[in-house]
Amino acid sequence: MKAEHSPSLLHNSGYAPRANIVWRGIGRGPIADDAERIEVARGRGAWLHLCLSIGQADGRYHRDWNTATALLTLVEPDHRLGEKAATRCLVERIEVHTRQLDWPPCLLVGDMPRDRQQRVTLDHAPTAFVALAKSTGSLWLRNRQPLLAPLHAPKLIEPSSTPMRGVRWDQLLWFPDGIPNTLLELATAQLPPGWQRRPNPIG
Amino acid sequence: MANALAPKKAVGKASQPSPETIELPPARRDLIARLGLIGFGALEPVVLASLATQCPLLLIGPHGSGKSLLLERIAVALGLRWRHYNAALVNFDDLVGYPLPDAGGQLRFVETPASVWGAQAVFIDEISRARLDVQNRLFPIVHERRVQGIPLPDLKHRWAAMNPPSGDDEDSSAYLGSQPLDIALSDRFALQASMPDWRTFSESQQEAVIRAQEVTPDPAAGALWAAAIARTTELLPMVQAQWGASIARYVRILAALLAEASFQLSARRAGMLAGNLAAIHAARLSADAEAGVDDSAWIAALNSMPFAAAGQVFDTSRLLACHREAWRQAAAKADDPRGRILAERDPIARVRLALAATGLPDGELTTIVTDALSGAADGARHALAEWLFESGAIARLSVVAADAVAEVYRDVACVQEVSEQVAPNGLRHRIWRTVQQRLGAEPATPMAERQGNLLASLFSSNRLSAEEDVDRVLRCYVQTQERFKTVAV
Repeated sequence: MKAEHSPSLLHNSGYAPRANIVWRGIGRGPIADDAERIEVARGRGAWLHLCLSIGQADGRYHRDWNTATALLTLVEPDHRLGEKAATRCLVERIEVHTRQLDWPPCLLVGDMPRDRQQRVTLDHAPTAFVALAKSTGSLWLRNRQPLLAPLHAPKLIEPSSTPMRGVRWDQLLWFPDGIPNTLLELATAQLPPGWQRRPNPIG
Repeated sequence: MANALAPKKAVGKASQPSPETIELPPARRDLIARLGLIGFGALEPVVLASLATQCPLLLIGPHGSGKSLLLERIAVALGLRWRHYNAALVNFDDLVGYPLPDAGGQLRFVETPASVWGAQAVFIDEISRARLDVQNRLFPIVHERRVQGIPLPDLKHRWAAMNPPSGDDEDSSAYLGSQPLDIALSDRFALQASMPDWRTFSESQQEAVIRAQEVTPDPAAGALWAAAIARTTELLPMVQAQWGASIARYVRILAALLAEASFQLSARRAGMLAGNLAAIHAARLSADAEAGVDDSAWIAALNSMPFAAAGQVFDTSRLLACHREAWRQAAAKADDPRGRILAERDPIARVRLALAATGLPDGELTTIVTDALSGAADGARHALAEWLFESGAIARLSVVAADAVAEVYRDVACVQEVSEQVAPNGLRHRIWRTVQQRLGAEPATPMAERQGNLLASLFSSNRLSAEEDVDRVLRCYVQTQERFKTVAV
């Protein structure tokens, strides 16, 4: 069906202006860089992105990560244990490290594609193992028996990507009252050289 | 008494069969099969209960499903004086005969072979196709055994049949001429049974149905039916004495659960259901002394609901779930904390009781929490998830339920970014402005941040459908938070 409009109505054929709604949370604005992200995460809810990358050039790299022996080299490089003993040792290391972390009893597990703004990235093998081995679905539980299955299946880094080829483990945890200082110190140490600490805006 | 009410079979959620898979043991007498009818065994206790109590019975089923044949064969077997009217065609004169003045000048009706006077049973076929004025005239016959205000002292049994009524949906299997019964008329039929679908019969039963014309009723059927009615009538007072209180408790809880699902039972219907349950159990006991009252309750519930005849879509699976839950609650002992938990209607209060109860298995807590999460309003369920998460009580739940709690907790704990273009002054814009007003009035405290996260999340997922929803959600959230402050894990 063909619509006919009178010429007097043609001036009215444009789009009505739209209203923009933008919201980043109460008292939160856009975050400029990783440094600011770390400062914001000191006293307020924030995501901790545990990211462990092993490139092919790394001496710890293995073709097959489906063994505890291979995984244990990431936290105890010189071990010479067999598979059974390595499994026991890895589980024990995860439990010991869990006790050292002053984390709440439960944490929310995040979804990688979203939640980019309040994310602090940390590359630390024992903490990444704790985060992965005690998570199921959307929930990390301190008292959960460690499961090694999530550790056995790292993501492959695309062969064409730079600067390296290799594998990566990711886990995203939400700390409702801010990320513990010990982890933030570690994250700060991993920032590129030249970064100067700014005063904490929260106090 | 409460102990004896406990179902014989486990009713764990995972093993719940669908209504289609429930198989009750067939009655040993095969009373309906003796009438030459195949596959109707499940109707036997319902029909028997109707005959013993003389309560009106309505059969609902598609054409050719054997409704009329069943009632005719029973009437013939019992040797009843009975009338069969087609409500779509009947004139009132057919019912009452012709009025003539008698010698005293009083008006009397001249009886005809088809008039209702002296009938012991009346079968009103196609009742859903009757004009409204005819329905109104039939109503007193069904309701009070009267016509034109004149009692029908011989009339014992009132039966009717109809095709499934056409509803508002465009169901191709609906009968366009079959209109939903007025709920007042529908509510007079104590027992309302759906005819079994012959396509669900076994192959041998289907072939027997096809050859049904070759089958003649058993000459002894009438005597057997009469004996069964007499035995049911004899057992009924004993059943009522033994089970009356428990049945009333079960019916009360079932009515409350159905009301939550937006199906309201009138007080009269609740009374009818209780009466039907007792009668059906007496009917089943008359054939099988081991018959369980839990199965009788399910049969009664299934055949006592007035919704199908009134054209309301009624999910049998939902009824089964309500029945199981009602039975479980009714079976709990008075001093059992589970009884108190299960009797609590408010889902949040129920979780509070469950968390405070000692010795409650984690599986039951999971069920209660899952029900509360799906049943509580937005805001309330968020406060519930927040509390479960931050108190650590979430660790007691199953993996799936804990995951569901975590997903709800995410709405309130994590910052939800919103970036959207909306029509100026449109509904979404007005809702967002209301959100901003509420949040702008609060200082930037952790509590305000959570409220902001909650509202932003609900806004993003289109769960705020009006401006007043903003205050409603915040109110539910804050009030529920308060309720959990005193709960210890």
